[in-house]
Amino acid sequence: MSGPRCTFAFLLFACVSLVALPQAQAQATGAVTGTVVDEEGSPLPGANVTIAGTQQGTSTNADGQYTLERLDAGDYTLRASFVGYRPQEEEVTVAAGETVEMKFVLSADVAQLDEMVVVGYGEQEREDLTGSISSVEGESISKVTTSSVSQALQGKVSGVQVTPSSGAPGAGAQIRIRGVGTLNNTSPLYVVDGMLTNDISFLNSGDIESVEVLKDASATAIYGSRGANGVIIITTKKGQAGEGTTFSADVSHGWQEVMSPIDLTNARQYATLANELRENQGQSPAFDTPDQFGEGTDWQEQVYRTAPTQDVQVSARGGTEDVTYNFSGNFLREDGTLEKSDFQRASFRTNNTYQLTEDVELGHNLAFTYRTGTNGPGVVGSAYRADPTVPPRNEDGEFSDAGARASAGNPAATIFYTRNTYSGRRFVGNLYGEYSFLDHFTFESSLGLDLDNQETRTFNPEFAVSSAQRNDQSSVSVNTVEENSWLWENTLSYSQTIDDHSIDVVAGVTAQEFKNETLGGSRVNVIGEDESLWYLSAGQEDGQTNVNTAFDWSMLSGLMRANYAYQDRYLVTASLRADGSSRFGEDNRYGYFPSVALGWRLSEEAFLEDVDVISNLKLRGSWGKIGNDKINAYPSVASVTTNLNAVFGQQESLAFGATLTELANPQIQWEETTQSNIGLNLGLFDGQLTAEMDYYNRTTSGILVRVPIPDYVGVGTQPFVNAAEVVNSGLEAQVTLSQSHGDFSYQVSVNGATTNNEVQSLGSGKEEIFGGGLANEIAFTTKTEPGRAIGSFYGYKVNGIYQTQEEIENAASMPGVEPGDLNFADVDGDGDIDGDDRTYIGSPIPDLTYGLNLSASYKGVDVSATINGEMGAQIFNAKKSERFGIENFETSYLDRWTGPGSTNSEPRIGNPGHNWFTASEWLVEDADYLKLRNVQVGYTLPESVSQSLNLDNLRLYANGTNLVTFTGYSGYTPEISGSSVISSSIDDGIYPIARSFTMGIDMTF
Amino acid sequence: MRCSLPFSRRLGVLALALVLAGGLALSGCDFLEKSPKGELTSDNFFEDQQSAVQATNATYSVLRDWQVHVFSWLGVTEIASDDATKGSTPSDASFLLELQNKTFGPTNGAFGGTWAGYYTGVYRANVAIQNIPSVDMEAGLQERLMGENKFLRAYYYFFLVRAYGGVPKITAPLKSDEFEQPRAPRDSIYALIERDLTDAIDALPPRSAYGGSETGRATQGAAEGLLAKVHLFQEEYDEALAHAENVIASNEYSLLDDYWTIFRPEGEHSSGSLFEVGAVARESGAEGSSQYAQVQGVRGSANNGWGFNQPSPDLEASYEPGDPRHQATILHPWETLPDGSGVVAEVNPNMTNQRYNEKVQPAVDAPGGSGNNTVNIRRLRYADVLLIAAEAAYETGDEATARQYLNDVRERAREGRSVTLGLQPETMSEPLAETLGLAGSAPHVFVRYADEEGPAGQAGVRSFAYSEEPVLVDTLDVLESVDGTEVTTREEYRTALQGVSAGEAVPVDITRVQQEESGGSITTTTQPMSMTVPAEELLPDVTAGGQALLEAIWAERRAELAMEQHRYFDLIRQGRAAEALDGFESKHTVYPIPQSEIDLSGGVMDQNDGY
Repeated sequence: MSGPRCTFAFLLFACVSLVALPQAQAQATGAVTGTVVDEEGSPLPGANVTIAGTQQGTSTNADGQYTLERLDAGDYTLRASFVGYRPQEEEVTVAAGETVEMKFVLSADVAQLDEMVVVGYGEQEREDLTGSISSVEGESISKVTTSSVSQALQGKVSGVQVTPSSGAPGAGAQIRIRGVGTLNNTSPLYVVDGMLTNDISFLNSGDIESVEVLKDASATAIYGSRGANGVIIITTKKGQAGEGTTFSADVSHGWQEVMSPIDLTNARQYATLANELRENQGQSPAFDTPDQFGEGTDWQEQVYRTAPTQDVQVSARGGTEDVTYNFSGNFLREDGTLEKSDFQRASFRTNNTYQLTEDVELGHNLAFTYRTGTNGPGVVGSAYRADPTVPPRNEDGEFSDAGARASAGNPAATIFYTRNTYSGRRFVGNLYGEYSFLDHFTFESSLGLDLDNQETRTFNPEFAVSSAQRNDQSSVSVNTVEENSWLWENTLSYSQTIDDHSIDVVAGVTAQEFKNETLGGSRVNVIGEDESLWYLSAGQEDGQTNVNTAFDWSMLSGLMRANYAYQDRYLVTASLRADGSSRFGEDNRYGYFPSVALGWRLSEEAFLEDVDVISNLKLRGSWGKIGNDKINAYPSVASVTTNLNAVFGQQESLAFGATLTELANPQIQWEETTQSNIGLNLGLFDGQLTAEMDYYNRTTSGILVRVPIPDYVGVGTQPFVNAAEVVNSGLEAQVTLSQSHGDFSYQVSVNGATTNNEVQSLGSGKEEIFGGGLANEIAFTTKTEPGRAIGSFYGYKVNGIYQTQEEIENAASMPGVEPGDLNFADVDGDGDIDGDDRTYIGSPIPDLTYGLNLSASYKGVDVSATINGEMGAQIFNAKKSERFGIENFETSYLDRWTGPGSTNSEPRIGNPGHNWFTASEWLVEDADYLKLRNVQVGYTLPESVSQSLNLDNLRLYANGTNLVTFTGYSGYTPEISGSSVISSSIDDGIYPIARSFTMGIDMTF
Repeated sequence: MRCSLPFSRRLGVLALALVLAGGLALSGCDFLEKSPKGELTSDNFFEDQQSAVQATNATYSVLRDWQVHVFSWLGVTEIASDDATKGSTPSDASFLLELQNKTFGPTNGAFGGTWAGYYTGVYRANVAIQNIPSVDMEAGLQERLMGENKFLRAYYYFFLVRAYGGVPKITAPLKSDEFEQPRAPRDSIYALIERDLTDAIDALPPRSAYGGSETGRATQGAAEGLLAKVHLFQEEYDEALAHAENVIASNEYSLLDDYWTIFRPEGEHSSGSLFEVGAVARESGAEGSSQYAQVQGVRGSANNGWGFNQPSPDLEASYEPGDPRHQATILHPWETLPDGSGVVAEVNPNMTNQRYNEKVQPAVDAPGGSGNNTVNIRRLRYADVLLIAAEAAYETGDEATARQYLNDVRERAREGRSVTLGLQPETMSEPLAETLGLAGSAPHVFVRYADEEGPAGQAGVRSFAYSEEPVLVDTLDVLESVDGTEVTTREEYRTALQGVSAGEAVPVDITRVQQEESGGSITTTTQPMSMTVPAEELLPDVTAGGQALLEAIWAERRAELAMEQHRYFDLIRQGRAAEALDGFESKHTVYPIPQSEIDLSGGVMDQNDGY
C-alpha cells in the first residue's frame, strides 16, 4: 500500500470511529421550545436556533416557533439568529423528561457592527476600516471543487483576477490584485495565521475561516516592501471557548474531464490538407489517396481521460474556558485529465490556544502537509500536432512512428514511457504568546516556521519508437528542494477609548530569514525499470551528474500603525514600515513605506440619522507607498558560470571552463508603488443591500527590468535595472443583496473591476521591451512601451488575403508573398511591408473582470453558484503558428484560401515560410469569456432523520465546477496565464482546465 | 529563589528578556549580509592562475555551440552555397530553405542565431583579455592565454565581418550605458582581426611545443594561417602569401597521405590540421560534445542524424573523373557509414536529396544519442593554407609557385595512382548484399558512378539505379577483380590500379545484378570486360597559366574543401556568387543585420543595403 492510500484508509477509519462515538452516550433527554420574535413582537419565521458551539439546531416555523428535542440533561447556551438581526444567546437548563420554554426577542442589526476584519498585525471592526479590504468566508471557498485555495478565489472578490496556472492536478493560480503593477512577479503576499509566505498550496480549503484581500496602500503598507502586489490574509479555523466539541466530516467523490477539446482535422481532412501543403511548396503529395482514410486517430482522445477525484475532511473543534482547540485532517486525491498525472495531499492541522493566566495566553497554529503525485507527460502540444493518419500502435502492437510527417512523435508512446513522481512535505506554523498589561497594552511575540521539502524522481526507460522519439540509455534523476524560513515578530499594541476618542496603536519589530537549497543527481544505464530501482545507486557511476545550489535572503523590519476615531464618525489611520533587505545593494538597503487614510461615516451624522433607508454610509480615502522586492536573492553581483568546458588533447578530455556571463548592478533596490484610493461603503434597508465602491490609482516606479539588450553585448542574461514606471487605475464595485422571506432566503452578490494599465516609461532611454518569442523562430510577439499596456501583442495588421498576383503587385507587399497569403497593412504608408509596419494588435490585460455569486436556501435545500468572466483582453494563439513538420490542422484550416474569391480570412495552406507564421492579427483572438464557475446544490436532511442517525446535521450535496464557458476563443481555455507579464496570454498548449463534478456528504455530530 | 512578581508578570518579563536577547543577537551578526552560495561571483573570480585558464577555456567552449558551428551556421556558410541543399524533410526548418533560395530577410532566425553565438565568443574573449593581465600568475602562461583569447576573438570577428560586413566593434565587456553601439566599418573590423592575430602569432607557441594534452589550443601556426586567410579575403595577396608561406616553412604541418583519414577519428588533430574544435562524447552528456555532426548525420533510424546540409547534385557533378574525394565527401544510400559500425545509409522516402556529408557522420553509439557527439570540427587545414598560398602567388604574378602549391594538393588527392577507370567503387552495405543474394562474408564494392564517356562507360559498365525500394536495383555492377587482382574493398581497387599507366588495357571482372521490378527475381551474371585507360591521367598536375590556372585553383578549393563550410564565402570573395548561385543578387554579398539587433540597438545600427 502506498503512502497516500494508507493515509486515506486511516482517515476513513478515523471518520467512522468518530461517527460511532456518540452512539455510546444515549441517555434520558429533555427539550426546549419557544418562539423567536422581533422587537415589535412579530414572529420571525425561518430564524435559526442552535446550541452554541455545535451544529445542532433547528429553525422556526411560520409562527416563529421552534422545538429542540432529545437534549441530554444539562446546561446549554442557545443562540437564535436571523439575517438582519443581532443574534442572541440565552442559558437554559434541561432536565430529563422536561420541556423548558425560552423566548428570543431579536433586535434589528442596523449595521452589523460586530463584524471583525483581520488586518495586518491586528483586527478591526469593518465599520472602522479606512482601507480597502475585501473579505471572503471560508465556506464560500470550500464550495469550489479544487485542490487550490488560490483557484477557489476566482470570481469572489472585485479587483482580483484569478487565472489557473494550468489544469494539471494540484496546480495553483496566477493572482493579480488591481492589475499588473510590475514587470516581474505579480503574485501577492500571503499571510497565513500571521506567517508570511509566497505559496499557499499547502492549505486545505476546509480549514479556512476567512480570507481578507488587502488592496489599497492603507491596508498593505504595513507589509512594506512586500505589499505592492496586494496582500491576502488567510485565517484558519479555531475552536470557540466554552463550547463543547463538535465533530464534523465531509466526504466527497467526483470526476473531471476536459472542458472543450480543440477541433482538429480527422485523418482524411489532414491527408487532403497535407497534400495541398506539399503542392503549395512544389512537392509531391504526401498521400496517394487521401480518401482512403476515415476519421483516423483522435489523439486528444488518446491522451485525455475522465479522472476521479476525492476529498475527505474530518475535524474536531471546541473549547473550554481556558483552552480552545481545533484538530482537522484532510485527504485529497485528484487524478488529472491527462493520462499519468495525479495529485494527492494529506494535511493535518491543530490550532489551539491556552489561557495560562488571566493576562497570559499562548497559542499555536500548526499545519503539516504531505503531498505526492505524478507530473503529467508533456503531450498537450504533441496531441494537438500529431498526425491523425497514424494509429497509436501498429498491427504488431508496437507504438507507431507518428513523426514521419508531423514533428510531434507519438503522444501515446510518450505517455507510456513517462515515469516520474514527486512528493513534498511542508510544515507551516507559528507559536505565539500574548501578555496583556496595564489594562490597555498587549505584547505579542510570535515565532513562525515554514519548512518545505520537495522531491522529484524521474526515470526515463530505454525505448525506441522512431529515430526522433527514442531514448538509448535509461536514466534516473532525483532532485530535492528544501525551502526553510523563519519569522519572528514582536508587537506591542495599545488600545483605549476615552469619551469620544478611541485610539489603537501597534508597533513592532520583525525579522525573517529564508533559505532555499537544491540537491540532485542523475545516472544512466539503470539496472532495471521497476519503481524500486528509481534510485541513483541503481545507475552506473560513470557519467553521473550532481547539482547542489542554494540561495538565501533576510529581512529586518520595524512597523507602526495608529488608528484614531472621533465619535465613531471621523477615522484616521497612519502606518509606517521600515524594511531592510539583504537582496538590495548596500547603498539602498533600507526602505520606508508610509501610508495615511481617512474615513468619514456619514451615516452617524445627525443629518442622516433620520434617513431610514440608509443604514450605513462611509467615505474613505487613502494614500501610501509600498514596495515589491520579488527579485533574485543576489541581483547586485554577477555570478560565474561553470562547466563552460573546452575539449583538448589527442585523447579529447574536458578542460574545465568558467567565466563571468552576466553583468552586475550594485545599485539595485525595491520597486516602489504609490497608491491612492477613494472608496465608499453603503448599506441600505437595514443592511439588506450593501455596496462597496473604490477607485484607485497605483503608480509603480523603479520597476526592475532585465531589459533585453542587443546580442552583440554578448551576455545571455541582462542585469536588473530599476527603470520602468507603470500606472494602473480602475474602478471596483461589489453589491450584495441579502433577503429572506419565510423559509426562503437568498443572497446575490455582484462584483466587477476595470483595469487600465499603462506603461509610463521604461527608463534610461529604453524605448521598448520585446517579449513572447515562440518556438518557431518568431523572435517576439509582444512589445511593452510607454503609452501601452504591459506585454501588448505586436505584429502586422491583416487586411485580408491576397487573391491574385495582380493584387500583390498593386499593393504594398512583402517580398515573396503569393496569392493566398495574408495581406498585411502598410501601417507606415511607405509603400512596402517590412518591420516598420508592425503595430499593436491586442492586449493581454482585460478591461473588465467580474463575478456573480448567488446563494439561496429554502428549508433544507440550498443552492449556490458562481459566475465569473473577463472582457477586453486578447490571446495570442501561438500553437497555431508553431508548426515544424506537417502538423495536424485546426478545423479552421478547412476554410482556407484555395483560389481567387474563395475566402478573405483564412490564408492558403502552408508551412513556415509563408508570411502568416509571423506575428499578426491572424493569430490573435479575443479572450472574452463568461464561465459558470461553480454550482452547488445541497440538501440538509430533516432533523428527525439526522438525529435518528445520531447526527446533529447531515447534508448531501452535488457540485459542478467549470461547468460551461462561453467564449469565442478556439483553444482549450481562454484563461491563459503566463510565465512573465511581458509575455502573457500566449497559448502554446496549456494543460486543459477541467470540468469537474462531485457528490458529497457533510455531517456534524 | 523568591520572586515577588506575580506569575503572569514573571512570564511577561521572561518574554521581554527573550525578545531583547534575540534582537541583540540579530543586530550582532550581519543579518542582512548574504552572498551567493556555491558559486563564484564578480567579487572573487579572476584572483588566481586557475581562473585565467578557466576563463580562456570558456572562450573556446563557445566553439561547440549550436549557434556558432551547428545549425544556422551551416545554413549561412554552406546551404547558401552551391555545395549543399537544406536537407532533411522539405518542411523542416524552412528558414534554412530561405538561405538556399536567397529569399531571406532580416528576421530570418539564422542571422540572429549566428550573430548572438559569435558575439558570445567575442564577449568571453573580451572578459578574459580584460582581466587576465591583472592576475598574479606565471608570465609565460599569461602571455599564451592572452594570445589564445586574441586568436579566438579574431576567429569570431572573421565570421561576423564576412557574414554581415561592418559590425559593432566591441573589445571590452560593455558597461550598462554603452549598450547602444553603431556598426564599425568593415575595414576597422579587419584591422582589429589583423592586430589580434599578429599579437597571437607573437604570443602563441608552435604546434609542436604544446603537450599532447593541450592539442586543440590555438597555435602560432593557426594564427598565422588564419591571418593568411584574412588577408586573402581582403585581396591583400602579398601578405596572404607571406603568412601562408611562413606556415609552410615552419615544417609544423604536412598533408596526410590519405584524404579519407582526415575526417575519421584517427585524423583528429592530425599534422594536416591548423585549427579544429575538439568534441568528445561523455556518458554525462553534452558538456564536451557538439551537435555539428548530428544535424548533418543520416536522417532516420538507426543513424540518428537530422540530415541537414546535404551535398548538392551540383557538387556531385563538379568532381573531375575518378577524383577519390568525391566518394570521401558524399555518402550515398546503401553505403556503409564510415565509422565502421556497419550501419547503413538507407533511402529515406521523406527526403528529396539522398546524399549526406560523409566527412562528419556521427558515431551511432554515442552515449545518450548522437547529439552527444565526438566529431571534431575542422576549421583550418594545411591544404587550405597551400591553396591560399597558390591563389595569393597567382595574384602576385608568381604562377610557378601557384602551380607548385596547387599540385601538392592534387598529388595527395591522387592516392598514389595516376589513372582512373572512370568508375568509383563504393563499399556495399551488408543488407544490400544479402538482398541481392551476394553470398559470403567478403565485402563488395559496387559501381554507382561511372563516367559514361570514360573507359568504364564505353566498356559497358552500368551504374546503380535505385528507387526507394532497396531491392529494385535495375542494374548494378559489382567489381570483382582488376587486372587479375581480386577487389573487395575500395583500398584494394586503389592498390590494383597503382601500377597501371595511361593507354593500357586493363581486364576487369564485373558481376552484373539485375532486377526488373520490385520484389522480382534477381539475375546475376559475371562477365569480363576490358577497359582502356584514357590518356588523361587521374587528377593530373595543372600546367595551365593565366585565368585557367586561377580557375583550377578555385576548382581545387571546391573539391578539396567541399562540405567544410568554406564555399559560400569563397564564392563571394571570388566575385562568382551571382553566376554560381540561383537568386543571388548584389545585396547578398553580405547578409542582413538581424532585425532584432537593429530594434534593440536603440536605432543606432543601420541595415545593409537592399534589405
